Amino acid sequence: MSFPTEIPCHAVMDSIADGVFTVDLDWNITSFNQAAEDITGVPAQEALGRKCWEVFHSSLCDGQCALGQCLDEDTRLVNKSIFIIRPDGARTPISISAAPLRDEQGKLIGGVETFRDLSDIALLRKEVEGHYVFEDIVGKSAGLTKLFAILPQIAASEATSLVSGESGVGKELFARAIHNLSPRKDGPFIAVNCGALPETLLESELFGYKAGAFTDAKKDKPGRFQLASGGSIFLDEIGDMAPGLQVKLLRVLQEKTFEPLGSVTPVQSDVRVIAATNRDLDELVAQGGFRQDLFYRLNVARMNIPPLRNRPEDIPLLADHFIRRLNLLKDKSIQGLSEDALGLLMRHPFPGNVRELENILEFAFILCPGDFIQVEHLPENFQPRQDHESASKDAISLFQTPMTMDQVKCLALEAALYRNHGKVMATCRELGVSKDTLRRMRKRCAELGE
Amino acid sequence: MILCLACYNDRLASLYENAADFLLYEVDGCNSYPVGRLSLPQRDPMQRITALAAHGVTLVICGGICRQERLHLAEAGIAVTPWVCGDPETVLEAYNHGRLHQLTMPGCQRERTGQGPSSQRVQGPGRGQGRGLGQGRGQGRGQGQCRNTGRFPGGKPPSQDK
Repeated sequence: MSFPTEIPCHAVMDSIADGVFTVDLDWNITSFNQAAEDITGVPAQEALGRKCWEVFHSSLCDGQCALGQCLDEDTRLVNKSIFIIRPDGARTPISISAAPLRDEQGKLIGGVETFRDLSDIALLRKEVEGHYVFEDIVGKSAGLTKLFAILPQIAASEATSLVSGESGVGKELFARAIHNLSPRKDGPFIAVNCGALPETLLESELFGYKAGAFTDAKKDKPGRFQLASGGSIFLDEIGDMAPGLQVKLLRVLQEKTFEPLGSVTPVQSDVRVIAATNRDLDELVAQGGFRQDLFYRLNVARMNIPPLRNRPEDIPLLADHFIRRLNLLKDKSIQGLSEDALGLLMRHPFPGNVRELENILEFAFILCPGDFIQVEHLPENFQPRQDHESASKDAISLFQTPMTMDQVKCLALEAALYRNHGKVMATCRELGVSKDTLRRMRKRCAELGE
Repeated sequence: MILCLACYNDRLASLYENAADFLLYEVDGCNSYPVGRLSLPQRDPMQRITALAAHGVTLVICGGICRQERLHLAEAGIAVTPWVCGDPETVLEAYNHGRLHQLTMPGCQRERTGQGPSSQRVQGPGRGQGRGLGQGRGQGRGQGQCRNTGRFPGGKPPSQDK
């Protein structure tokens, strides 16, 4: 079927949601549709006439060209998953299809490649499978960059790892990245929160039990260590583990064996332990709340994740990441934060770290109807405490008669001295001035006769 | 300083991540001399950085590169001039004469000069377009003094196939 000549071909191409480009036999780009511009980040007018590998920047462009293979073998290729790198350095997963192009006489004149952005699908898949690698940890701060540099080596080492950092910094994400970069990546990743369960329950959860070990133990139950065999076990909140259990964990780490409750035979453990805590384990050891020998066993490879307030430069990147994720989950198309809203977030101390930022944005998504999240969409504590109009009314009611600034200062000084029963230091503290300033103010007020 | 070109066959690799050959040049003033070739086909990012750092590389000129790789290189003290295309001789010549910007990949000019859109999208007031009053002196490299001294060992580059 031939394409109707009266229909403008470029209009049809630009209406397609998938990126499409064509090349001639010298690999020069001969057409580049709108979606191709959007996905690659390269404008069509700059792409046309250039070699396809200078524009596409894909994982196949150097030696494994899919289009080249199609032309050589006169075949079609459908839905091959690869990645491209956009000019902003973002790695974008795409699926490509390619085919040779022939003229009406059947002569080979070039090739066509179509491609689809899989970023959203990849993001959702990660959300569902929890398969995070360290590229998924968002940040460019010096603190995180140092961790990125050592993370692959730590992961490859199989050493027991300790991830420390305040609550909400993303310790589990790092633990998952360690697992997914390690030789055990095909094994299970089992997470246990040591602070969430009482000691006896945690013991049976970790090591399992044999039938008859206690009332209601009708059949054997494998513990988390057994379930994690060949993989990694993530022990979150390790600082909250009871002393009795610390001894048993120490034995697992030292001898690579454990005994399920009620069993007399030790079970071999083939598990990598990744522990995490938001407590200061060094101090806890000094106070006697955590076993020193266990601490040294866990502290083989340590990663301390800096709190978000120490790396504000990561806030815009994290916000962008969460907005993309929430757009997918909430079916919205919010483009970003307004400058004012971002400014407020940049100044916020974030005691709850990345988790707090995520929650703030989730709240803002509920209220934001448009393209950009504004200050009024942020939670209550980000709103100005008092609006300008009501503040002005209060001031007018306080100062009924017109006054100069010096008179206002004298009035404030007098009131503060009265409230503090004439005590100079207390008055200084209340007014936020030094003793010398207070003395000068009093002298000035005396001169003015106030 | 030691300069490295991340190559595939007879051209700069489309992506640093794909490069298999790393051509090393000693840069002395505005002359460059070939000092070696690293063949790293295994594509392991950390091994690659270790090898480059071990050879004293302080600048990599390459095609595209992802943010993470660039951060890793920076962490190892290696600067990166990305989004450059062309064959090694042309790239080296352009580097020696301060004309690398002429070899920028399509759509990447703003990224190379650090003016690209940041990854966050922030709504804000437009930037002013007022004219400046600057009268600063230029710092361009001189023309005609620099030359590319010698071809890279290995003879004629392989054929132009993809």
